Amino acid sequence: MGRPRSRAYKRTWKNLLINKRYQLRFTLFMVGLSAVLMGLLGWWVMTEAKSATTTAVNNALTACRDMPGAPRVPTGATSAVRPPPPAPPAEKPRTRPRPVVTIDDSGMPAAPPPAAPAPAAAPDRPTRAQVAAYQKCEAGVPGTVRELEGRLRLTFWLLLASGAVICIALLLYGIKMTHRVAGPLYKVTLYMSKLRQGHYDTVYNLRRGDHLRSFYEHFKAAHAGMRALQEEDVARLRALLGAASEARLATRSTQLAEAVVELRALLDDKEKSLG
Amino acid sequence: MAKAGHRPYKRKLSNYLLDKRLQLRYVVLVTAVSALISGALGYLIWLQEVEASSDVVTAVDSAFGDDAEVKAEMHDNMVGRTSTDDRNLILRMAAVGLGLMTVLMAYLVVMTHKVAGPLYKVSRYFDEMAAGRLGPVYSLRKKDMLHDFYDKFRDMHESLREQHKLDLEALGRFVAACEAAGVAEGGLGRELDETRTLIDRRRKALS
Repeated sequence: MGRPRSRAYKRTWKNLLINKRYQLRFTLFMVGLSAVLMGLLGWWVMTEAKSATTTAVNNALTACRDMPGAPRVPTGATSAVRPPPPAPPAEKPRTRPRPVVTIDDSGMPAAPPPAAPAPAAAPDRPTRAQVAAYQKCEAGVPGTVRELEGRLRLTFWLLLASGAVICIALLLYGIKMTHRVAGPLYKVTLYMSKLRQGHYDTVYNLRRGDHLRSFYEHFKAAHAGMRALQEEDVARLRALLGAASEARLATRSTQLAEAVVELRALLDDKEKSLG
Repeated sequence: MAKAGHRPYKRKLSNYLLDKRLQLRYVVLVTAVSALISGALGYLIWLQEVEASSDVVTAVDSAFGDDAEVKAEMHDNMVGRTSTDDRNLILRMAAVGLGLMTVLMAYLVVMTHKVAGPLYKVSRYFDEMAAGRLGPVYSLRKKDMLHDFYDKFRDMHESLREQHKLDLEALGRFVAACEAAGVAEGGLGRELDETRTLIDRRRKALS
């Protein structure tokens, strides 16, 4: 057997999937798991984001109404913030999903007393500057809401895009990684096929980066063992045929002549198989 | 070659990691990717939760803007509650994440064992071949992977066994013909003796 050498050749993309069953099983498991994780956790992220956005939008919508310049509601029985909700504010607020924060000041212990019917000329009438500030605030609300909703949409698309990128990257990496196992197996399969046909060719080393190096060493030892048997047979046959020639066996009887011919044919086959 | 049978034996927990390098490479990769995805998205979930909590506190603060004492009390109350909720969320996510990773790792070790097992088995047969022995080859377990590869190995092994049997038969016929003709003497006699020894040795290697 010749000394094993390393033949320098590179992997090409077209033959990366050489053991589809094994490679796709491991790769798709990895990709599928990541997709499921991304899907489930992404859905959770979106639920939380929606909840946070809803709360923030409501805050933005109600923020201006508490400003000094905001127009007062003439009937003082209800909140200046929102219409009265069914639950009093003393109840434990739920955190998930985030509720629309609506505060009813009618039940508050320290809340200001209900406003009396507004007099014709209120003593704390807002100044022009306060009204202008309120109007500016109100004008900014739609923009704030749009920005919050835009952020929600951006979060969704970012999650979707990163999920797709991760899955594609894992698919490519998985195929390449499993190819480093499938490659040596394929190589061993080729050598085994040659052994089956009686060819004891030189076994070359694996490519750099291939896995299963230990397994391949076992194979090389097996190949060397089989080749050694073949060489031993060749030596035995040569010695036997040499002695038979010296004893002129082929001329003694037809049976012996046929046996010598058979042995010579066997020797030829074995010599050819060793290359 | 006698038809290879199936020896029923079970996997043991102790030998699930047959090829540590091969198995752990995949186990660690998949677990790390899952941990990264879970960690990153878990962090996002936590951020959203904290943001929502902050918005709730802001809303409550603005609702009690007129009374500093009530405002402070409600603020502390809300901050306490939302902080507890946020902390609980982290703990729940960490517990679920750890559980998931543990189950995943165990599953991956079992999954990769179904590849490492056949490779280990074939390696042992290769060792036998390296020592010149070509005994019978047994089947893989049902749930093992790489059946195609193993079938090719068995075909090759069977073919080599058959070839060796034919070679031994040819040598045996030659020895028998020499013995029948009474020519087993001198140099040829010595060669025939050595050939007989070789035939015996090879027959043992095939059993």
